[in-house]
Amino acid sequence: MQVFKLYFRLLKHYKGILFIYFVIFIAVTFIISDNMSVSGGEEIYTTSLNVAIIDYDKKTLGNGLKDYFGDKHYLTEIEYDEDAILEELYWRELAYVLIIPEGFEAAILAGEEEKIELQSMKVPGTMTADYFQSELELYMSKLVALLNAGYSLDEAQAVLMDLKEEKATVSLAGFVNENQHDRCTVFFLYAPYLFVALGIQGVGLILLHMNGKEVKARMECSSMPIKQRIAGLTAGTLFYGGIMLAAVLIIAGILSKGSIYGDVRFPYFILNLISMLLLGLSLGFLAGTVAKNGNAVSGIVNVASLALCFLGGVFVPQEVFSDGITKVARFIPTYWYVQTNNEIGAMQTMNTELLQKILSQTGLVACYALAVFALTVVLISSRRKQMR
Amino acid sequence: MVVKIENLVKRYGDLVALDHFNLAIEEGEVFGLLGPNGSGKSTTINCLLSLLEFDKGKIEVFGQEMKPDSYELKKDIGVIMQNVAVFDELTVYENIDYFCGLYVKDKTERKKLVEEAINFVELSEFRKFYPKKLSGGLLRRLNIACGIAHKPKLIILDEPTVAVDPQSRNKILEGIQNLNANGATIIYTSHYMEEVEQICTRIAIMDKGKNIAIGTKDELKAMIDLGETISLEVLELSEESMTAIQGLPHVIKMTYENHLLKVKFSKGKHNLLRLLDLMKEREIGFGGVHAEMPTLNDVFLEITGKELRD
Ligand SMILES: Nc1ncnc2c1ncn2[C@@H]1O[C@H](COP(=O)(O)OP(=O)(O)OP(=O)(O)O)[C@@H](O)[C@H]1O
Ligand SMILES: [Mg+2]
Repeated sequence: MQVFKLYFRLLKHYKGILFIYFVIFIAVTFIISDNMSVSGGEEIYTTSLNVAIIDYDKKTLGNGLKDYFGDKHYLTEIEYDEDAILEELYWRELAYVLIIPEGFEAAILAGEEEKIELQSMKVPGTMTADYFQSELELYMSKLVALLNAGYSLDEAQAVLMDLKEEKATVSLAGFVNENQHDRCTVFFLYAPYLFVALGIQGVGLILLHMNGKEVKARMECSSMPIKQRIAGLTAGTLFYGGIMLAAVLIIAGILSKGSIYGDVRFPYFILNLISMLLLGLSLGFLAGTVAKNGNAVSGIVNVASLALCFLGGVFVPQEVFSDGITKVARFIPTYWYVQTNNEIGAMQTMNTELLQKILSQTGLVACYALAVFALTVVLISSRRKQMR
Repeated sequence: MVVKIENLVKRYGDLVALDHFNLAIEEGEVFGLLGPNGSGKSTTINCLLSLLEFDKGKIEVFGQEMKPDSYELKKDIGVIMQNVAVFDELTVYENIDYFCGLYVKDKTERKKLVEEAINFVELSEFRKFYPKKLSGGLLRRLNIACGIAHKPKLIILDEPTVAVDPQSRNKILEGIQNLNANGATIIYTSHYMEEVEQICTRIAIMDKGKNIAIGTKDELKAMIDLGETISLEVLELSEESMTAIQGLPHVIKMTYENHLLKVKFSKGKHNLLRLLDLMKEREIGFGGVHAEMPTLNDVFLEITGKELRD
């Protein structure tokens, strides 16, 4: 009880710095989740994308395409510059780059559409690119059908333009689950940053001070058994973790206007969050043991939280990872957290297969936490031996 | 017997910090461990408290073997280490309360004990202060309060007056004597012989991990063949007179520098009288007679051939 109470006195002392981390986290998440979250297929449909067109053909067909999509999306015509395009795609300043090859119109009119195809540059696997691609394919197939039916190119384009509003009802549910990018899923995606940064900062600082050579000697001399001291420390750490979890869940409640609490996915989200929370706390244990001072703890906070969040795909979407990076990322616990989070986010009903996947992935993250914890214990006991 | 240490050997690698060290401390003593820097005082204390493992020997406290998990024994021990051990994040009151709480669970009892400890070290005005805001002397007093709040029967203080102003130092020494008067046995380590002489009922002199002499301060001084050192202010002294002084019985050493004559005698009666007679006889004018009894430093010097403080 005494040690548990000390834990909170120390926590109270450091509430300023911990609060700052929390505020940064909340601010960052709110900004990002506002930009990224889109709830439901209809909204996706009305979303305008940044699309660039490189037109080598410069014919009526290309112009028609531009007119058709220009109303809805932000179209720009650009010159080919691979580096610039890749960079804009990477930063999502562009969702899709459409390349109309020379002779395209001629091929279509000659009924040889297989000969020359539209080309594109996009970030593979992104929802926005897939969405535009499907719109484009739909348009082209309708156009070809109209041409085959005897319409001239101008007529066909005019018909498609007229039909535009009606076609807008095409459902996207086939490839986009409407839940996937709701605000809570996006918000939970960033929880690793909070748990790792605040876990290390809080637990690390407190342990650092409890492990101070002098005060530790005094505690060792006391009549409080070591087991009780460890129990107090563990209880304090778990309670602190509980506060962080509660804060995240409360904010999720606010973001979803309370609906998340009744959501079928809620318990699984919690499970996933807890696995990450344990990792953050155990990293705090390790940091508090190896760090020599408060600055070292802050250093570990920055390195660990940023490394885990960037390499694991928290701050950078996993879709942009190259194969090589993905191979590495699979060894990073946050990678599995993100996977699980997205799977839970996209889930509509639970099935055994998904449940098994969620359990094994959260279990994996928990194992990482356990491994870090075990490493810390080994480190502590070997140091204790050295000291004596 | 409160503490019994037999044949204690502690090595740090090749360095033998304690070399077959023996010690026995009775209830009610203020026991001083005196030794120069690095002589093994802290090592002795750390072994006694089971903070350190040792290579050989036996340690008993209150008649029982002391082990890391001897929590019943630890209840009755209070520790004040050489380095201040408090939490900078807690106030004076909270610090004492925390460390007292490691021994005393009952809240009302603890409150009473903490108040007593605060009053004892005279820190009541500073109870809401954080350690960083305390002066060196006050900080030392807080350090002591944290170690004694639970009213231990055996109190171990490892150089508690390092870097403390004379006023605080006297307060601390007085406090230790009060604790002793209230029934606690005290172990006190220091390399200041004046402190040890002032408060300790018995003293062990340590050097290189060995207990080289043990006894009351008078017993220790009796061990060596040194009497008083007498100094006189003398304006002028002839070679002849110097030889005459040197020829007096019991004279060990004589110096004359800056008009100050210093004569060191071994034990014996009438040393001062004989010297003054000689001065009168030879009509040598003098003033400012000063006699100094041997100190523990002399004892240390005699046994080890070096000064206690370098
Ligand atoms: N952890 C350690 N590792 C190696 N050597 C040590 C260690 N602690 C102490 N020593 C050595 O053991 C010897 C005894 O040290 P100790 O601290 O017991 O002396 P001390 O009498 O308390 O000195 P001081 O008056 O400076 O506090 C010294 O030579 C010291 O250098
Ligand atoms: Mg020492």
